[in-house]
Amino acid sequence: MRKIFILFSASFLATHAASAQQQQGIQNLTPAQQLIANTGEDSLNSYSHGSRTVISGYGEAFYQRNFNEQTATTGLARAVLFVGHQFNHKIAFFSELEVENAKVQAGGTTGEVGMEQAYLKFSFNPRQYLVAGLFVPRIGITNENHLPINYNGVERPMVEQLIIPTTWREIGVCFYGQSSALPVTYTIGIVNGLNNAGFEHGSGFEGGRAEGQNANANNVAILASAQYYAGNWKFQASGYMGGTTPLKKAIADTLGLTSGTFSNPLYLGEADVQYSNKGISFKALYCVVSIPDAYQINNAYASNKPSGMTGFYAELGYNILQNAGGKWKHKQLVAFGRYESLDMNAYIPSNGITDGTLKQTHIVAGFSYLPIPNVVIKTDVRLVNTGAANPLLTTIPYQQNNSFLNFGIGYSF
Amino acid sequence: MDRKEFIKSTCGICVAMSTGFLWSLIEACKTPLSVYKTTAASNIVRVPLTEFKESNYKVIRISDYDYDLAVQKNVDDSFSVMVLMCTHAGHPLTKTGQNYYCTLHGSQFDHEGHVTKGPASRDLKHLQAKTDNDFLLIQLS
Repeated sequence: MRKIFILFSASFLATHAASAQQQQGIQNLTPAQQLIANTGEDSLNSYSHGSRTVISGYGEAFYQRNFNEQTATTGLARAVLFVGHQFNHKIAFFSELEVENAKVQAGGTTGEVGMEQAYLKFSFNPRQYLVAGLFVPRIGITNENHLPINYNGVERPMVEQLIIPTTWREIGVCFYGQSSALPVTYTIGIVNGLNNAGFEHGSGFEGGRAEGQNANANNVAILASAQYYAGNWKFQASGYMGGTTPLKKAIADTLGLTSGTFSNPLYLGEADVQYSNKGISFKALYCVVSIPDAYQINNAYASNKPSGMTGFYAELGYNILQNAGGKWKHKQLVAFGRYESLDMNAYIPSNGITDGTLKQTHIVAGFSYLPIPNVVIKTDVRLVNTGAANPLLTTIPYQQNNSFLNFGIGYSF
Repeated sequence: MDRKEFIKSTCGICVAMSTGFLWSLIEACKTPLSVYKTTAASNIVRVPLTEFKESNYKVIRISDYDYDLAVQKNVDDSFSVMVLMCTHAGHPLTKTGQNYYCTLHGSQFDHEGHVTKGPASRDLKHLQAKTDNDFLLIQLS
């Protein structure tokens, strides 16, 4: 008890002394400065130049009814713990540790624990900084901003799952900048390349990512993006160019592949536009992926890869509570509709087999209700139409149309 | 799809986007981002009031300070000053139309600094400001 009393007394005296010193300093200011200094605002400089740690996170759970199968699934899609630390006003650390599907069990078939991001950020000034480590590059809309409150629909847009494999992260270095005169931001970076041995039929190039796990850096990739803000519009273009064969020359030669920094390259180009004003939101994205050496990759691994994939979506939303007052004033109820079209078989090499099921359209319509800006409750219906299945690839009866009913909750803080 | 086809395809995107982009560029050139660069002395920033003759909005960039300030001159001739720092993880904000956007996790704030999209949950920090003769005085701490 005595110790507590001494600590309390010391703390009180120190606070009182600091206050007296502050008052003395204030008396040396002009009348206007004194008025400002007496407002009791806490010190911004104290944390903009000091160290601090931020702990936050996000997560989402879903229920999905598959009408063709007459089945339903539900789960905690992901829970992510975000830890950031600012060492000083120039250097900071950011990380996202993700648990997918709630549980990882030895011998289990689902669940994943992974670092979604872990990088150091070196700031040169308020508009320019460099990140180094495992980071999610600015490609597409959802890859960088993948929190559930940031997109409509329980599921992320299918184009940004199947063509751009969100959340796509690699090890590397990236420079982020913003023009001082124009509302333009840009990035340019270098990351480890993909591994075409992991490419699988029907999943784009998702399986070729290393995601920071013992990435073979014999091949690399360059990526860049530019964003332009004009009024309530935001335009973005981004690109990726990287090698996909990380093997040493002797093995690559044996497989009929090439080796080197940009060996058997993969190119990705993407452009998108977003609009938001007075409760109306609109976004559209188009992307194209090219794998010119798909023929050689198919010869090496018999993976039936396409040489080109394309994807497009457009979404329109309106906040029904935009002009609401009273208790509804700061809540959002967004009604939205989204049309998506993607073709993972847009171009196939001569040794590839066309799979009609990979040419898909998705129509999604639903609601997102945000009682506060950090929590979302979602529901939507997704109608799917695909091309016909190729009997050379499957003999299981296949229905080209399907419907899904989704419910979801999400949070971020 | 070989490299030529890829370039053709992506160029098509560029042409499609350039219409809107060029239009917005012309619009932006008419109203470039209004930035006033200065320094702080004893945590006080002095901005000449003449800076607000042309526009009621100004971005203040202070040397050796981590964030820009957004200054809005109100209809009653008072001033609102906000620190363009995301209240979630301290990342500098980007101005988007009338609003502000954090590229790090996607937080959004309206023109008054209220959170409209998380993960940020606190509104933007406002600083006290007062006019003194021909200057606006902003207290940083």
